[in-house]
Amino acid sequence: MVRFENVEMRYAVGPPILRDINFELEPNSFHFLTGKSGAGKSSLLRMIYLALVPTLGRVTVFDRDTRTLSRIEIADFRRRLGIVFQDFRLIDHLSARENVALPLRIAGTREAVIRRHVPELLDWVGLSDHMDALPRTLSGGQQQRVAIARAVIARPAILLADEPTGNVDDRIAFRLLYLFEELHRAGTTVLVATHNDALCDEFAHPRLHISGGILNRVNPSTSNKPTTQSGRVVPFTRDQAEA
Amino acid sequence: MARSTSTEIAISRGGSASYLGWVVGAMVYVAVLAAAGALFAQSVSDRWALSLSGVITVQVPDAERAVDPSGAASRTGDDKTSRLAAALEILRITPGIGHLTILDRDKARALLAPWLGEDLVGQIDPPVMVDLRLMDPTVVDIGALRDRLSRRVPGAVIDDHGAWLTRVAAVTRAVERGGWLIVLLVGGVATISVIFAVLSGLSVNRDVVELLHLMGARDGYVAKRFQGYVLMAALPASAIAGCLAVATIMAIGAISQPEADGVEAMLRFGRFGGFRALDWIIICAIPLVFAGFTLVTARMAALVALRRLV
Repeated sequence: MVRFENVEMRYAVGPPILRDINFELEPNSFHFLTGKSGAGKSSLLRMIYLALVPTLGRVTVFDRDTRTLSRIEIADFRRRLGIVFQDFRLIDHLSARENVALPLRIAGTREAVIRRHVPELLDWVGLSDHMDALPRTLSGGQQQRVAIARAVIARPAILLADEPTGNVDDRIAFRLLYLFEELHRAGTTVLVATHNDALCDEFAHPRLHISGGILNRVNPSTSNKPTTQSGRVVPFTRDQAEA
Repeated sequence: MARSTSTEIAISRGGSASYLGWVVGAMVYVAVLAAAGALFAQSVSDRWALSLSGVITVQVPDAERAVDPSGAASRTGDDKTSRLAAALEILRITPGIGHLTILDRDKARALLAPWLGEDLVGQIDPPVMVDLRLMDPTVVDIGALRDRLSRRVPGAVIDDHGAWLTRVAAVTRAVERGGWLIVLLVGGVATISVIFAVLSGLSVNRDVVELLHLMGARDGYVAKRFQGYVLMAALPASAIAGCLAVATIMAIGAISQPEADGVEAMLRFGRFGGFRALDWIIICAIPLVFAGFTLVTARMAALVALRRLV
């Protein structure tokens, strides 16, 4: 699904923020992406959703080198990705319903289908009473769930979530993660960036940990709940050795 | 879910985009009036050229006098033929000349009376005028006719209206070109304002545009939102401005025809006052063309700008 080979990322001047990153997200895998804020989690996600091109190395998404994609191919690739942004990025003059409908509209889905699917999904995330509410009238947790509904409405092959639990208490955070688990079981490849260790411990999926610009894979300890169905990280070079 | 799909981008939120309707409306109003002026000038010059090019006027002074009474009739003997008859004879045998209308002295006096007054008219001796309708203006050699006429009837004058017709044509052509130039200029200004509206809309809504891109929207999808906005602003504005401009033209028509009043004058002007059916079609098409043009401009501007935005 996603493969990083010897990827380096640096912004303008200064040292690289990510160095020699190698990993692969297998189809239907679930990974956490951890690290302190500023460690480069968002940059790594941005390279997957084609908003950033690596300074060095190669990023492959859906078996295509992201550097070779045309503008139209980039748009079409992104329709197969669901993104939950750290700051939600809901459109503030559109209702929850319209925000969630957006990816379907962009994909040219028929209005009748949109009218059926959107309320279903909003119901599923527990917002059936707030379908016509504007984002600013919703609580942080409610906004987050709208953002997640929008990310998954078009049944993406890959779900990328950037700190999806950053603005909510642990109780809601866990509920959101169960939601991701359900999508994962339905076949979606999931990558969740977080610095919430409690979550990682609870859900016990493999972790990709970024520290000092280097990415290491941390397998869930066996003492935790078994999550054996999740995909594996394929180490290409020394990541594993250094770990 | 009744919400229109074009509301994702609140283009009119701030920025110059909200003034677009007014700008386009004003431009359409000016363009329609300028085009009407151009078309009017054109039709006036066409009609004058048409009605005058087929007509020449021959003036024969001292029409009753015999041709050359002094005996210069060395060739023809004592010629008692009147100058008028001699002139008519020449005109009749000239190929290409059709109907002749003789405007005799009494008629000429009657025509002049309102201008000069009965007393004065009685004292003058106006020339007899002969209006010639040319069957085919290209066949008639006016220069040769003038020579022949002046040899037989010295003092006779041919007026083919060419000189002043040329001058009138030059003026009307200048008015016509000026009118179309204004239409072009105004179209250019409208284009530029649409481009500015789209660019400012893009920069004000940059975050939303970026979000749409990240959700897989192609440039065409985003551009369509701008097209929709521009059309919603430009179409009603163009229609209203077009109607106002036509009303203005009608009002000018009514003022220019004081003998008829009100609606009748407007209608008469509309039908006969210089505009042909095609002219009205062009005048009414201008607002539509403007609206369509702003639409295309909005799309092009958005596509180009989005490509730069990456």
